Amino acid sequence: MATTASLAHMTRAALLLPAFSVSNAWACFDCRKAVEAQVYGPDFTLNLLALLLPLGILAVLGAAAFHWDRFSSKLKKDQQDEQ
Amino acid sequence: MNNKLKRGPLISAGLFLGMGLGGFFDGILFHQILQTHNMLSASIPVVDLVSAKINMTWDGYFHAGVWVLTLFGVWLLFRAGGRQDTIWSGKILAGAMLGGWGLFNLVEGIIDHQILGIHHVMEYAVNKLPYDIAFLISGVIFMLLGWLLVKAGSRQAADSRRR
Repeated sequence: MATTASLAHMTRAALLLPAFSVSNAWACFDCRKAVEAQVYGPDFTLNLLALLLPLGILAVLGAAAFHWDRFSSKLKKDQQDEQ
Repeated sequence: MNNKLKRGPLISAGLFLGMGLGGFFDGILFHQILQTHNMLSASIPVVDLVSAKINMTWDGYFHAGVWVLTLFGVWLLFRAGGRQDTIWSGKILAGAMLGGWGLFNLVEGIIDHQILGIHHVMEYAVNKLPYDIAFLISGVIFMLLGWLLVKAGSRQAADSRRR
């Protein structure tokens, strides 16, 4: 019973797969080529780097916060030494 | 032994979650619902369907990036939960998340709005600067509130350890 049900699911999935690959399923069939040409053009890498730059800096800051206790205890120690 | 309890792993997890969710908040509210700007709307202004869809694609890459930050935050939180040497405090986590959101607004605002100028908060306003500055100020306020919450959570954890 379970085998029949899973076979039916697999058949349905197999039938749906080609539906995703036909161009009619894409949003904006008419302008797709123009959009792709401009997104994946010569400026693609530059745009991607510009877009990901703040996220990279944020990731470095977030990772540095993992050692928060080491920084804060060193800061306290330095302040105590100065006093 | 109790004195060696760390806050770093939980703060780091909270920061990543706050930065990621802050990015999603920006993308959902400003890019999609209010449509005040898109990721590259200053260099590729939205004037027709093609330019709108180009910006939509770049918004997608931005969302993919903040999705990775959020996922990393979830992983760090899971790891922090399993550690014996880490403080487990809701206030510290909430403070770090708020701080992460503020950090996102500040860093994204400085780099994207001010330095690179790839977009502005209100792209189609005559004077864009007040909105960009308000965005930066919101980042500073969130960071300060987050810092206060982390401090309160740390104090609470220290008090409960002393009892």
